[in-house]
Amino acid sequence: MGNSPYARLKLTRNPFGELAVEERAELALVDLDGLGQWLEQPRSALQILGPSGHGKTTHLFALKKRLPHCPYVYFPDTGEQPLCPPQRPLLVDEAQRVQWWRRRQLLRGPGPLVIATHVDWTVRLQRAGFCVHTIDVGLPQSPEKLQQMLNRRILASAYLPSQEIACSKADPADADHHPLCLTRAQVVDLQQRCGSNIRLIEHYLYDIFQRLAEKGQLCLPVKL
Amino acid sequence: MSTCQIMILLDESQPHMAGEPISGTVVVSCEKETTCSALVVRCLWKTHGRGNVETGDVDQKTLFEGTWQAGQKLSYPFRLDTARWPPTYYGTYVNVSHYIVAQAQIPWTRDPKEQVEFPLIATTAPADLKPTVAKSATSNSSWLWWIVGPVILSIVLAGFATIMLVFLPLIAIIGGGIWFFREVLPRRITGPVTCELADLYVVGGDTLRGTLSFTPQRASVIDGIVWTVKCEEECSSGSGSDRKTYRHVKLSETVRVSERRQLAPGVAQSSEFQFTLPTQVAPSLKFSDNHIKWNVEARIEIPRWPDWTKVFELVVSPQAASAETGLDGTGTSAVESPMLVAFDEPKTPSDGDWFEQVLGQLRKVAHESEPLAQVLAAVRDFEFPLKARLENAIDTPEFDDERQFAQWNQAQWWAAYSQQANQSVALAWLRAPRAIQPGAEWSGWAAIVGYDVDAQRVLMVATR
Repeated sequence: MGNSPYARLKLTRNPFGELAVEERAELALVDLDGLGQWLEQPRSALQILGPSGHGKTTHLFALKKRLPHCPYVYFPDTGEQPLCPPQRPLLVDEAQRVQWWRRRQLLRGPGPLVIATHVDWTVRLQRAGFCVHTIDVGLPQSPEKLQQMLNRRILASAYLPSQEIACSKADPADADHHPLCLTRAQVVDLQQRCGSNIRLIEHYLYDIFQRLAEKGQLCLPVKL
Repeated sequence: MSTCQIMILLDESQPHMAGEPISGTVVVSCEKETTCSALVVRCLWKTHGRGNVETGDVDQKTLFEGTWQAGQKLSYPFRLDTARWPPTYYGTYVNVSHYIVAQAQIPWTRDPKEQVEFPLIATTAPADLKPTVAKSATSNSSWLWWIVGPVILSIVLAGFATIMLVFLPLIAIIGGGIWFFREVLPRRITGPVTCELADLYVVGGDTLRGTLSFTPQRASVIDGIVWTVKCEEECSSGSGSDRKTYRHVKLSETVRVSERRQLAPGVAQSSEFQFTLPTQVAPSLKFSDNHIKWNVEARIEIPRWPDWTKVFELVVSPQAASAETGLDGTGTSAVESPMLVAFDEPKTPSDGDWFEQVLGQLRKVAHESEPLAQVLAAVRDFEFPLKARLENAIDTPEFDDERQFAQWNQAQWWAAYSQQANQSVALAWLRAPRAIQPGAEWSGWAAIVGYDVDAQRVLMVATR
C-alpha cells in the first residue's frame, strides 16, 4: 500500500469513486427477485423509471449480470442512434432518447424488453401489446436500505492492514463492519441534504472521505 | 461462498522500480475437491477516483490447470513484469495503483479472486507524452486560422443546410472578432514578442527557466509580466450527455517578473523567469478519462487592454532521489534509488506525525465512549514508532471489552512515558525483553489496543 492516504482509513481507495461496470453490477443492491420469471413472458416489458442519478443504469447492469446473454444498448444524447439487435430480452438504456422510427422498430419487435428511462413509457408499451412492470427508482429509499447500499461500497473498499497484504474484499458480505461505516442518523442527514439522488450522495461522500484521507482524520463527523 | 481461498504474498513489500519484475507466491487453500480451468496471475494498473476507471494489463501467467484435492494448501510462485509507466499516484480526483491479481477460474461457481496493491516508482515519462508547443499569441500562422477556420466551418455547415448561409457572415465576424481581440490588439502595444521556456520535459525539483522579450513600437504602459505554473487533475465520469468533467488544481504558483512600467517606443524589454518545481510532484498523466496536466503561462498584463499570453504544456516526471526520502519516510537504504512518485507532499503525514495526530484525536474523544471506540477501531492494527522511558510494572489495565482483557491479561504491562509524544502509555509485551527495568529507554514499534480513561494513557502492545 505504500503511502496510500487511504490505508490509514483501512481502505484501499475512496469508496465513493467511480466504479468499473462489473463492480457496479456486483455492488448493486437491487431487488431483482421474480423479474427473471417476468421476463420469460414473450410480451413483457420492465420499465426502470426515474431521474438521472437514481440508479437506473445500476439496475440494468445488475440485470445484465443475471442475464449475461441479453444485449445491452445505450442511446447517446447526440450522434447516430445504435441499431437494436434482434435478441430478447433486450436491455435499453436512456430509452427517452430513442427516436420515433427506432422506437417503432423496438416496439414492433418481439419482447421482452427492459428499458431505463426518464420518461414514462407505460402507455406506449401497453399500446404495443406489452405487459408493463415499472420500477420507480425516483421514489425515496428507506434510510436502512440506503445505509446498506452505501456501507456496501465502504466494505468493498476495506482492507485489513494486519494481514500484511492489501486485499479488496471480493464479497462485501464477508466483511460485516468497518470503522467508517455510516450510521442510520448519518444516512438520514444525507437524505435531507441530497434527497434520493444517489449519485449526489456518492459525490458528497467522495469529498468527505477524501478530506478524511488527506487530513488523516479517523472518524466521520457525527453530522454529515 | 467459494470452495477455495486465494492469498497473495509478495516477496518484497518495498516499492518496485518501473519495469522491474515482481515476484511472490499465490497460496491456494481448498475445502473440497475443486477443478480449476486456470489459475491466472496478472500484473495490472488501474485508475481510481472521480473519473471513469481505466486499466492497463502489463503481464500475466497461468500458474495451474487441473484439480485441487480437499484440504490441500498449495503455493505457486510467480514472477511478472511491472509497467514502465504510469507510476503509483494518489491525488484528489485521480489515483493510479498497481496490482497483482490472482483469479482461479472454476466452472459453475464464482471465481475466487484476490489482489494486492504494490507501489511502483517510475521516473521516465513515455515518449507519447509530448509537450505541446505553446499556443502563442504571436505565432506567425495562427492568426490566419482565426479567419480561415470559421469560414471552413461555416462552409461545411452550409453544405448541410442552406439556411446556414445566413450564419456564415455572422460566424466569420465572430471568428474575426476573437482573432482581433486576442491577436491584433495585444500586439499593438507589445510589438512582436519572443517568449521561450528552456525545457518542456522536466522532473520534480528541476528549475524552469524562461525568457520573454519584446520591443514596443509606441509609448504605452504595462501592469507587469507574470508567469504561472499550474498543475491540474482532470477526470471525466459517465459517458454521452451524462459525462461530467471534474478538475482539481494541485499547484498554481504565480511569479511576477516585472512590475508596472512605462514602455518607450523602440526600447527593447526583456525579463527572465525561474521557478523550482517541488521535489515530489504529480507526474504528467494522459489517459482517456484521467489526466494530470502541467502548464506554464506567460502573460503581459496590459491595463484596459487584452493581455498578451502564451501557454506551454510541460511533461513532468517524478524525481530520482535518494532513498532517504523513501516511501514511508524511514530511509532504510543507503543506496541511491528514486523516491516514490507523486503523492501530494503535505497530505500524508510521516509515521511520527501520524502518531501525534492519533494521540490528539484520542485525547479529544477520551471522555465520550462512542467516539473513543470509533477512533480505537480505526487505529487498531496500525503500528507506530515509539520511544519511551519505562517507569514501573503495572497490573493489566481495564478494558471495556472482556475478550480484550482476557487477551492482554497474559502480557507484561509497564507504565512508560514517551517524551517525543508527551504522552503516558501503558506498554505490554507478550515476551518482555530481558533488559526491561525501571528507567530503561525502549524504542520500537507498538500498536494501540485501548485507552485508559482514568489514568489518561494509551494502551499499546509492542510488536517489534
